[in-house]
Amino acid sequence: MITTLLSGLALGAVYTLVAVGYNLTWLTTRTVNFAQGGFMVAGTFLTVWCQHRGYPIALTLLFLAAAGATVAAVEFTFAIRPILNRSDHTELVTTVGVLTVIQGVILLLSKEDVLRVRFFGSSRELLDVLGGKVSPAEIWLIFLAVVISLSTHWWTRHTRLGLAASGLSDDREAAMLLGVNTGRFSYVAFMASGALGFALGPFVGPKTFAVVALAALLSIKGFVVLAVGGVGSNLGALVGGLAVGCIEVFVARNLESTWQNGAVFLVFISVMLLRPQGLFGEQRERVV
Amino acid sequence: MNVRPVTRHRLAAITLASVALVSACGGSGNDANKSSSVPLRVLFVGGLTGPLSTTAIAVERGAKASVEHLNSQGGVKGRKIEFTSKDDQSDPTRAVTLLQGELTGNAKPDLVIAGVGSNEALAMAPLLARNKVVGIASAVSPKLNDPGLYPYFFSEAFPASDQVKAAAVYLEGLGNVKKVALVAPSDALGDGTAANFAAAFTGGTIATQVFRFPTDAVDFTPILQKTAAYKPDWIYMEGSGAQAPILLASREKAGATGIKTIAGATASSQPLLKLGKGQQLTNLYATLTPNAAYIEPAKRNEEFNAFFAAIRSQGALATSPYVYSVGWDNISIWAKALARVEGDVTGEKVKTAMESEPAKASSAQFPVYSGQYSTTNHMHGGHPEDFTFAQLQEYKDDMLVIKPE
Amino acid sequence: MAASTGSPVAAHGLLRWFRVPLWVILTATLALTPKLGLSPSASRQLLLIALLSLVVSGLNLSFGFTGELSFAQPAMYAIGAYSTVIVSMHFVNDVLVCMVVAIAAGLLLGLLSGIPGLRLGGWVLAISSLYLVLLVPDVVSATKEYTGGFQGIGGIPLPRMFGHELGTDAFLAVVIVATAAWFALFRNLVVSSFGDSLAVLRESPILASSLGISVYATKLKVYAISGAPAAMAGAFFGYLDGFVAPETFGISLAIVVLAASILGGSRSVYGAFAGAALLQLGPMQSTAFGDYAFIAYGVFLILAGVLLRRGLVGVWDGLLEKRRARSPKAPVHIALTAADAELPPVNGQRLSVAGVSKKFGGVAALTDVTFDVNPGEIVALIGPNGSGKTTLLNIISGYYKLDEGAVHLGDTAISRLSTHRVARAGIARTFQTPSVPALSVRAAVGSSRSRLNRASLIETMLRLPRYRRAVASDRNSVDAVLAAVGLSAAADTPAQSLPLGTRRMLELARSLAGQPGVLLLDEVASGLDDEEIEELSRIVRAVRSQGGAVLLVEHNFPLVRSLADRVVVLSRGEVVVVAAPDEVAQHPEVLEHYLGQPSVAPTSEAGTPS
Repeated sequence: MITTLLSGLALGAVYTLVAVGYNLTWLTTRTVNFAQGGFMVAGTFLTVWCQHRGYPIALTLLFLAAAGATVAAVEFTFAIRPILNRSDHTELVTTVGVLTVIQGVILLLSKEDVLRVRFFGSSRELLDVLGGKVSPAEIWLIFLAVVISLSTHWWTRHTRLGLAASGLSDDREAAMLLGVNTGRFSYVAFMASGALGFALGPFVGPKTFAVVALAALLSIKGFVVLAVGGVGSNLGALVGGLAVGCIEVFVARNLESTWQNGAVFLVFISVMLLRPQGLFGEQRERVV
Repeated sequence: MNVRPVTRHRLAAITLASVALVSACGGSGNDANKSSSVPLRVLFVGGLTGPLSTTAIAVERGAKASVEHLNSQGGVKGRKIEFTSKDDQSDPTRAVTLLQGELTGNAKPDLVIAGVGSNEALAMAPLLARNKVVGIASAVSPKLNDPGLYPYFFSEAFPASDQVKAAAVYLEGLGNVKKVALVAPSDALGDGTAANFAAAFTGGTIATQVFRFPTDAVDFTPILQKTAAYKPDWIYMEGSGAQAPILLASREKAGATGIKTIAGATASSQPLLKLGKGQQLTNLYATLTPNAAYIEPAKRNEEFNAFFAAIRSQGALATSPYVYSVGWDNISIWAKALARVEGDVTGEKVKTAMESEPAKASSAQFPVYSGQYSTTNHMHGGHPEDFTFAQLQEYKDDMLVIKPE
Repeated sequence: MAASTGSPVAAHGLLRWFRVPLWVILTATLALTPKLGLSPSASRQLLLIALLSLVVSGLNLSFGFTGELSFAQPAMYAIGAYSTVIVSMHFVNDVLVCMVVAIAAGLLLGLLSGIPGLRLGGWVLAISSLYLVLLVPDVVSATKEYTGGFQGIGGIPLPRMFGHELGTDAFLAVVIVATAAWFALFRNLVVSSFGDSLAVLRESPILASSLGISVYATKLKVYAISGAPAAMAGAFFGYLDGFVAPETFGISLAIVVLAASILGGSRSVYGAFAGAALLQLGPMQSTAFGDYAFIAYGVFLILAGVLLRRGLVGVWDGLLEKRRARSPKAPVHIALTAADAELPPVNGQRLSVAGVSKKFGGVAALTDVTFDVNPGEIVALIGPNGSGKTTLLNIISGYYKLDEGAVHLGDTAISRLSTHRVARAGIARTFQTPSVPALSVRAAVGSSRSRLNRASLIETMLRLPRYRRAVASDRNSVDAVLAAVGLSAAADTPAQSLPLGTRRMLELARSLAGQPGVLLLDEVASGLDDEEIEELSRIVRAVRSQGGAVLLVEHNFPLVRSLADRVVVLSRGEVVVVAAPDEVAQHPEVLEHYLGQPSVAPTSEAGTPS
């Protein structure tokens, strides 16, 4: 029971962290960056690379964040900025393109499809928490998901910079009039989402292994969590992510594992029928 | 009612574009007259990228090594062999498109290695029959072993049904096994394994239950908890790609490492010793295919040494040498049949020669399997003894050393 | 009409006559390509492009033309393929039968999945359609006996038609003819008054429902239809290699279809074909990139997405526009021409508002409001801001439901009807901010006629006589109204290029073209100059003299005095007085209110036309 719950929370934490990445770029540019799952998977592979070279964890994290920020900046420059003012969902094509490129580069550089990612922390294999078994990496994942989503949630709601950043998505022109440098803000947001995605590699990897095929899966699950929680809300991402993770494992444990997707879909539709804007999304009134 | 001039322009544009397309694609080449100086053509169509890429790349490398080996010995019947490969990303429709393109090109292939997945082979086999080109693959689906429907298709594989049967024979032989649980993915591999599992244990004394996990999950802990709650004496678990290591990790978290567990042939083709750690490998029995378990240097025959030297020369191995040896076999079985053909080489003659291959010598490491093709059997297969079930100790010469019980 | 707009249109006029023959020649050419020397592998590519283009065209219809993003196309494709599997292996092996069964199944799946998904639309539809695709393998696995489960099913017989086995070439011909037929139907569907109502819907669902277009039903129809071509393609795919496995119908296909749609140009008919060709032929070349294949595909998606604005079709249009820009052309004269034409008779109906009350969260917005508007009469509704004018208008139009009372149009109670039904009953309205779709002026005005003599979608797609008659009658009525309001010269200009004053005229014309029982005009004079107000007054008076019933909500009291027969004065949600304008002008409460708003009263007293 506790083992199952902790597994679900850790799984949900991964989804949450993908959704937080989505929100960062959504809030500033109104684009859904489908490469987000790719960032995370690239991070897991790079973690293995760093471990091979025996880098300490601090250096590994720094390196990953720098790599992520660079990749995201390149993505923004070539795949997002040129299409920023279009309203025809072109970003779905270009960001899927970026996701494909990331997968292609990993396949090119890594000989193996699946790699084990060692956890940097204690050498103990599993911990006993409340009578359940959980790996240290999973505890970290849950902790990080809570801290990152809540702090960014607070930041976007209660700081001038955060409000300005999230204000960008409502009306780029108004933000420009207010003197906010929208171009730089968008850049920074993308780089932050890239740095976040990559730097999570050492924490996600020990749970999921480094697997190329995981990238698309994480992007899709994160997308569902984003909608359930409410687009733009990191608090929603946290609640939605943990809920989806727990539903998946409990359905698999107590019912039929193949119903996982169906169960998540049912919850999704129910939430949407009751609150179309998502659990913590903001209702925007239509003006007649 | 309203004017849409642009639409009409578009129509005109499409017309022009289509006509251009037709003229560009028109004019297929004629078949060149073959003489002994013309090289033999081998075509590999498989998922060099995509979900089965590790296996496909290994099979392709094994085949390529075999071709180079044969060419270094002067080719077959005095003709050199040319090797081409096409990437179908494990998509059957794309595989057929690529094959179609090669079959209508200037030089028809003499042998087609039809992918590594059963779906690719099932899609390509009818086209091979229509064009009378011999195809061979490592696909395990028993549906492919149908010489009436697919007369030109041969499989160098131990049918999936026999793989599970071998495990059943092993478990029955232990004498004290009452309950066995199967843990398998919800996909084609899992469906096949589950069906074979049911067939293998029917009529025996062992009770069974099946536990399936969704392919898009990243944590199978709840499924293994459920499996452990069934309290089986043994678990048989199967999974491809990342599923295998996730199964190992989940097994530990679910507290199921006390239950003896067989990893199926597909799961065992993963580098389990590298992907699992410590506790996760306790009580884990791998399915060892021929050429995967360590062979003493003294017991390796000449062909095996040539094989090993050839695949090593292409770089470090990414998976078990067994997978490479299947690719090697694909070529060498065909080349041996070709050598038995008299006069001009035609698809029909090669097919007939393949069907009359001699039995495998008991000391031989090749062909991988001990079975024999005939007019009614186009799948190599073999005997349950071709497989070994054992705990693993270490890698040696890229092969797996068995832990003594 | 062709001659009036200059030389490019003359060429189009020529093309118009040759459209059908051209279409037939094109289809025949493509269908017979193998006979013309196309190699088998190239004809297979052609066939795969045709199949993909069918699937993509379904997405274009729902995504491009109604704005609803859906990933469900692979599921529709799958249901078509498995229709062929089941029908050909267990019942009858005939391509046409399989096609029909597949199309029926595709329509049904579209309908069933669209009912919940479209209620919410947007993200919800996108994600729920994604799940529909994720569930394909599970459904296939559950029906293993017929579908072969995850492992796929082989042994599907070679296609037959009317008892004859189809060879590869004949099969290609069947696929090409069917594809061409669908594209003709698709084109006929979107280049029609129905297509115009889709443009209205995209512009504003509120506008659409005020014109009698049911937003939900229209989207659902389109969504269901969008399943048909994909299912038909699936039926062919089932026969293609005699082997079908569920992995074909996955997320990666959904992405290919979306990419093809966007790259070809989502809001276009033939863009689907262009996009499909690009996505079929482009990645097939990726083998040439060897180990870099994945990267090459990704770079291709990025470059194509960035460079192809509005898709390949957009590039083509761009070239056309450049050519047009070079050819000298007189600027469009959109000033109103002095209209000499008579407004056609308006068959007005009596609107009666009886005892209407409405509360918002306990606050009374309207209390016991009662008045009538009769045919041949202009009634003005005035009152200060917040007096409930707009609320009342929204209740009459059906945007709000009233708490008590009733609204009747003629003998029909309309107060419980949804917005589009109210409009269909005969209530037409204009908006404070004119709402104008991306159509020509003529089509925008004609969009209000969707409530009248509609031809069915089948009749529209096949251009049956009833549709042709409807088009002719629409055109006559619209042209008559355009002439009456002086917009004839601007009939072919894009409606969105019009200035505000002309847009108000367009809204008025749109309302009139729908032959409404009652015309609701909401602040129709705001932002207009004196000349334009004069023109507007002339038309509103003409509506009255032709028998129309007009309810005018207006701040401009001089205009009210000059136009209205009776004035209803609202204050804090209650009717203060109903009387003739001059009488109302003397009413103490009105004086108080309007004198309290200096911007209106003093100037207007001075500027009152006699």
